[in-house]
Amino acid sequence: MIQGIDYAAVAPVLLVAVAAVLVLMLDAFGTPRAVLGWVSSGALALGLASVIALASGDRRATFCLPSGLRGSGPPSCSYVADHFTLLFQGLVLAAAVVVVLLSVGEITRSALPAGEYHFLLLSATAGAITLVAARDLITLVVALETLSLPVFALVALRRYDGVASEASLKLFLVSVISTAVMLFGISLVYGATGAMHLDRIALAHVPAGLQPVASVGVVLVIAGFAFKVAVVPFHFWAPDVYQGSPLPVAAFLSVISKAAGFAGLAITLALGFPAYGHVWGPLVGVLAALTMTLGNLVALRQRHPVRLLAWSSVAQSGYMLAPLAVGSHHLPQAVAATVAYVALYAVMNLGAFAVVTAFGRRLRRGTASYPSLDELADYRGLARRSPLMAAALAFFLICLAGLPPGIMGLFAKIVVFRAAIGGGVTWLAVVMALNTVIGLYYYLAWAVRLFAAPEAEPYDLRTGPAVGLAIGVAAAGAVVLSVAPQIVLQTVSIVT
Amino acid sequence: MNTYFHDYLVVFVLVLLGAGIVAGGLGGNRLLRPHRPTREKLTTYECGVDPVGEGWAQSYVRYYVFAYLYVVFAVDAVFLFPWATVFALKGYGPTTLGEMFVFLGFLAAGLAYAAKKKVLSWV
Amino acid sequence: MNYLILSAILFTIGAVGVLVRRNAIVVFMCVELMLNATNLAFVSFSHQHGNLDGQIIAFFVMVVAAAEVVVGLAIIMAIFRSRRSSSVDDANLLKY
Repeated sequence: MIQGIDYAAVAPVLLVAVAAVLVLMLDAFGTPRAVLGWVSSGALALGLASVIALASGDRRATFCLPSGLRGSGPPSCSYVADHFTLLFQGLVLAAAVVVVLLSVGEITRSALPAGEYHFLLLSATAGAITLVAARDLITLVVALETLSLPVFALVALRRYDGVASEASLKLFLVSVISTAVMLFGISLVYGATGAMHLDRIALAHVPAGLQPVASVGVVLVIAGFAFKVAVVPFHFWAPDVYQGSPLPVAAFLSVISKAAGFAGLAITLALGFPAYGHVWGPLVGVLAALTMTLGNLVALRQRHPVRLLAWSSVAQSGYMLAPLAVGSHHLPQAVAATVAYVALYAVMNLGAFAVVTAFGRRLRRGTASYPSLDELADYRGLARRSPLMAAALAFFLICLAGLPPGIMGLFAKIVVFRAAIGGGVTWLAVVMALNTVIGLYYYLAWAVRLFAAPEAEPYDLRTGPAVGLAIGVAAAGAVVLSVAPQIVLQTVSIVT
Repeated sequence: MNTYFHDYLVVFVLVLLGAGIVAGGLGGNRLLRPHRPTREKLTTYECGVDPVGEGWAQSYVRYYVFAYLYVVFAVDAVFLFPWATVFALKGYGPTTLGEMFVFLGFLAAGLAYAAKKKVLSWV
Repeated sequence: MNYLILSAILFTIGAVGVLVRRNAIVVFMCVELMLNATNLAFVSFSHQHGNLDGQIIAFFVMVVAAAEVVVGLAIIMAIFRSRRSSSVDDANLLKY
């Protein structure tokens, strides 16, 4: 009765999780901070290598129902390492490496406890890469919590800082409430179908009397995910939390948490609830339209770069959600579009966060003090002070806006448009087009400031090699994907 | 089933008897003794010393760490119970034992961390 | 069926508590109430369907709830240390 475990399939998760415990122990026994950074990024790189190795092989699945218990149903595996999983695991791990690079300076600057920081970061990453591989609701919930719980602590890690604790409390309350709502939804779905494995839920025959129960359950599960990925009307935590947390953690939330959350949502909707497409399709459509409109409109009047990025990432959530509005009609193409958008968004947003982090570390000339919260106006004249950094930021912003030469952003938007129109939700495509125009304004306004005449007092930009490397990696990724965006499209078409 | 509840009947009778003895003793005392309260007699008895302060006292907040550790370990013990029910069955055995020790190892890592951070030493 | 009604009632009490109470610790207790309501629903559905999935998730929900308690109280401690209050309304440093 003992189940065999396919250790190769779970290798990425295992590596990261063991490294997390290792880092914690190393720190407790007095290992220097620099070593911890290396161990942590090394473990993530190893995980990435194992993902690449797995990608060349076949689909692997483990923790399946034993044949004795399976009956006549499908194999029902809890952990599946198919191409969808591996793409997201690769994305999350690569982004996590960049976040670790950004964190190195932040840990020294904000006097964060290094061991705990890396431990929490690795734990949350382990949760994210489990989430994208989960194919039953129990694993999904546990992975989602493993992703969320360390992030609360990461946000609050700047102790004795009222803003950080407050941001953490907000994130925490929103997140636990969403977990409770989602669990209640899962309990209703389970009550109606009698199954926890997504493939069994999809096949379950639900009596007509229980159909409404299952529909309510599906809606509650979507609401739970909507909290996690900051979709209107469950978005209000995002700007405050991004502002209050250390910048690399904000980058983690806006890239890794969001990517994993969308992967979870896509898995649940496409594999578990295709039969309820008529219920969740229109709902997702309305949420997407609201999210992109409100996100963009509020982003227009932001003065702080972090809050601007927060609202813009809310708006981007709307674009990611849009293809799923097709319901069960053309669902594989819709999932492919969402996956492509999430992957491209991750690269450009991470890049923008990397530059904002680097800029926040500039030193006023002659003093050792760091500026407090930056304003957009502070970015005036960055092109004179540091042409490379300004060029990188301008490129990321143009990508986010979706204008040439930022082909990757344009391409991502076209993919989403095509999926929405192909699935017959033309009205959403129109809303999206209008929103893209609004988005152009604030992204470009920021990009133009970079090239304006400087007016602030002079400062030293000494970013350190780690942050420079992070910006370089993100910029290289963005350039490669802008030159050859078909890489993503091909990968995604293999995936789905 | 009848014998099962019969056993409880004995317990019940015993409880009644005990309560009766205590209540009877105190009641008899009350009937026989003189009753002349004074202010000093009504204060709380603390080994002959005059009582100081109020009944409500704040306990030290630094004990919250122990509460956290307790919550984590008590609830993780939840997983030991399902394991214990199947562990002895046919087809499980050493592998299952080993797997549980892996789980316990993770918990022990947490405890080792707490010990190293000096939250387990008594203050 | 009665268990399910009880569970729905408990969940609603918890949800209303989350919305109207202002003390972070009380809000937090209401969330725990919601989680326990879902546990009750899971176990009774599990009994109804005759499979164990619902009971397994109930175990995990308990552990998740405990982990949330620990992290949540730690955050509330941190806030209390800097603000001397655990009311949600006093958490007002972050605004538009």
